[in-house]
Amino acid sequence: MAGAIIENMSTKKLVIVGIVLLLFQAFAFMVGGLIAPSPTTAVHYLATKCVDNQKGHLQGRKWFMPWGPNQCDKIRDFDEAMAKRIEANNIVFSVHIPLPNKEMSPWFQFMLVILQFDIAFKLYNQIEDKAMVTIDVSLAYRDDTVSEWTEMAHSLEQRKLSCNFTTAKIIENEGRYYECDLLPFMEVGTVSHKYYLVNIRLPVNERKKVNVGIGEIKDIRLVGIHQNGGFTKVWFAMKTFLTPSILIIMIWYWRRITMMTRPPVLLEKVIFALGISMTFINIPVEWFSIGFDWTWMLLFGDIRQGIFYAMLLSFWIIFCGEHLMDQTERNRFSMYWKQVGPIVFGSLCLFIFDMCERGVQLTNPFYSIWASDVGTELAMAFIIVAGICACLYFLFLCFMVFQVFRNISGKRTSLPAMTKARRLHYEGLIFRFKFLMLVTLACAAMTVIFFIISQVNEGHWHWGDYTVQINSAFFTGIYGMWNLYVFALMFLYAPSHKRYGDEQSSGDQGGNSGEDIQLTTTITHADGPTEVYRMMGKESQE
Amino acid sequence: MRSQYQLALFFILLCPVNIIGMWWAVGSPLVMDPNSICRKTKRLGSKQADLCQNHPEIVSEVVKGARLGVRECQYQFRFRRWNCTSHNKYFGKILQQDIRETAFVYAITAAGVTHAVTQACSMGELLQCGCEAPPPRQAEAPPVVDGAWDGGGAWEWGGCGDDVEFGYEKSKQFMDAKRRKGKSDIRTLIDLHNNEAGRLAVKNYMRTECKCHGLSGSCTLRTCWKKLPRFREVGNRLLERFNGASKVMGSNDGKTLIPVGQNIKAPDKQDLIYSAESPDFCLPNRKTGSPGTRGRTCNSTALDVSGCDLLCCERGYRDEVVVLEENCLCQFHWCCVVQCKKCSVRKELSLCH
Repeated sequence: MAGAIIENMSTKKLVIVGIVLLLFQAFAFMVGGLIAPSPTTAVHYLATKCVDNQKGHLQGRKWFMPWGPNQCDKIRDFDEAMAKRIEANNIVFSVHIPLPNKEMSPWFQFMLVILQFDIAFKLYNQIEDKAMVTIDVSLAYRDDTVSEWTEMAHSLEQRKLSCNFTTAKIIENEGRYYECDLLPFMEVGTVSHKYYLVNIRLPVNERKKVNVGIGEIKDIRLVGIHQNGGFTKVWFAMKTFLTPSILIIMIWYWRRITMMTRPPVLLEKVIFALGISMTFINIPVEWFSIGFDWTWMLLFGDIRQGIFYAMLLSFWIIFCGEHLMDQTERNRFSMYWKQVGPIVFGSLCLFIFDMCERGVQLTNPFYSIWASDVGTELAMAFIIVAGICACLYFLFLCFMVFQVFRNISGKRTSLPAMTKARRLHYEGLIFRFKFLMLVTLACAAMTVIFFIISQVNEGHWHWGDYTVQINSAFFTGIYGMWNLYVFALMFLYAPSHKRYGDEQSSGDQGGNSGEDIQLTTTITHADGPTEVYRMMGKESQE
Repeated sequence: MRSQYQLALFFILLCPVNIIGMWWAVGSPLVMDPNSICRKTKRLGSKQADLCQNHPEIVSEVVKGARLGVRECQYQFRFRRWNCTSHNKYFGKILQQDIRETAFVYAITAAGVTHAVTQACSMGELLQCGCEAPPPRQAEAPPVVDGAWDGGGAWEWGGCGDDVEFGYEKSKQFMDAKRRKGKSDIRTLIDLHNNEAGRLAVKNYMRTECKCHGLSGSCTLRTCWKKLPRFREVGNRLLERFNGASKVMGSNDGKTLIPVGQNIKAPDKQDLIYSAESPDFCLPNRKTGSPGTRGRTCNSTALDVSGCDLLCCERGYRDEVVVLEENCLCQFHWCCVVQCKKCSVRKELSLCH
């Protein structure tokens, strides 16, 4: 009896493989939960209000430092500015990233900054409906504490203010603050410099209605988010370890397939493609981001993830299709256009959306697709279309799984009446399908459960003396899990080499090759890949 | 300044030995600058002097915080008979008692210091925030060679702790510093409790905000951070605690506090406590620190504490009509420019006799 390795393995061996995989899985969770710190850190910055005394007649751009040597002329609040007759156009909000005595590191991978306004309620100076804030932002960097700042980006951006005032708008409540939504501010794909400086101005132009009716701004807050260096290191280590493991099993798998006399079937090719896309994600090209200033790394990472997800979804569809047992010839990719179509289309939508956001951010880090109305609608359209595609896909998938189960129960009743070879063939198919179904469901459930836990929880659990970082455990655990999934898939669903050997009786489900030949004539080649292959191969030999 | 200094000295000499806190020693926190505080706390020794010497920038934030607290106290008590006025010597007297008002002042200044220090951290005004003490997990972090300062490795490995912890610690160091260790009486216990309640009114009410930034902006990767509560909300919360403050008395051994009255649950950490009933604050009284309510404006229509009957202690009031010049028909910018016309407004004021 031949087929996939999984059918020919003894239960004992299968259990051992399962336990080994589970151990690796637990290890992956523990690496994230116990060694790595939380994946990201958010740092709160309150902008310092600087006064630009130069009145703009200076040629070179001047940078305003909030603290340290050469710090700017500060004002504490705007009452002081009012008293000193300083104009709004001469006020510069300055934020130095990071805070004093710290420095940024390439290990932080990315830097995402969020903007928040503190706007006080004034009865006669309220925020108007659909108020837009125009901000003149510039970003500079330097790598030591004494040299001049070098400009990185400068842009005039608009952001929609969406604030609400929770208490009654009466004079007694003056001085209370509006609750304003977080505004996207900036995203940088690499952190290759040590110090960054953000200077923000809110220019006022009454004729052009720029920054009029935005209420009484008291403060500007920024929240800088970056990946933790420790997490990056653990993550890289994991990737560096996983890449060769998946690569080796992939080569082993493909060698087995090419060793066969027949050409590979669709399902085998898809599994191989899944392996390739997994390796593509695994290859730790991020190491380069430590040495080079490659801002596109973030976008590249998104694309790699997207390809893998698309591949995984396609694999499930094709796997179900190849186990349908409904006597139709599939084995061609074009047969699945209906099901794979939504995946491709949905991924494409998300890709375009990502290009519009992170792609544009390569040139202008302050760009946000959500800042403009058209952009927001466009972004929503892409996301909705992608969502519809996802729903369509899951409908197809559920329908296919249902069909498979219906066929299985149909076959079950007629199994005892079949010849031994035929019965074993179908039993193998059913076993393979059910096994993958079970594993996939377990993996998906784990992903969902851990996702929910990491969303609901505060990020870490205290467990005796240990602090378990739930979020990090989620990332490393789930990443490790899908790697193991692909690994197990390639290992267990590789064609068994027992077909080449002569020891026909050694498997648990020993078979008879004489009957196999009969099988090729009695059933169509529509069934599972491995079985079908062997039969097709034999057929062609005949 | 000189007279304030003398006044402060006067208090130092007058006061019992082991009162904690500092405001009794320096007079009103509203008019103090860090230098004069530090000059005076030198006499106190302990952690305060240590802070003064090594971290003057923290002391200046502490002063800002105390001012913030007193301003908020004045806002919250604006309609009460005692309106938290801090411009005269009566304020110091209030701080030496065990009444509700004392509890509130201690709590709100401690809260103000926590708030201000935390805020200063996010402005980069202080150098030691967050990473000062290595986080407990630091032992697991590999030694980082290129970290040029203490905690640099921790910052790169896993970020730093919350700033509010730092603000909380500094507030504690400065406000709870005892003059003599080991010696404690009921007043010390009460003041310590109220200080803690004030700090917790900031620390326990941090608002959490989150941002999703995973694949295509999905929530697979989500980062949350804690944001300071608005100080007005802190004040409101403490005022609620003030209204529901529990009376306590010392136990026999003098080391613990027990609530007065039967079937009253013990106050929790966030509750304000006091041990003496407040005076009525109607008339000026040197001993109780009451400035009296003479000349205060009251609301002739209101029936609550701000109403003239209660505020003026039924001494009656007189109505005065004043003509004020006010800004009207203004055009505003977000900052600094207000173009207004001047209008005359007639206002009726009621003043207590």
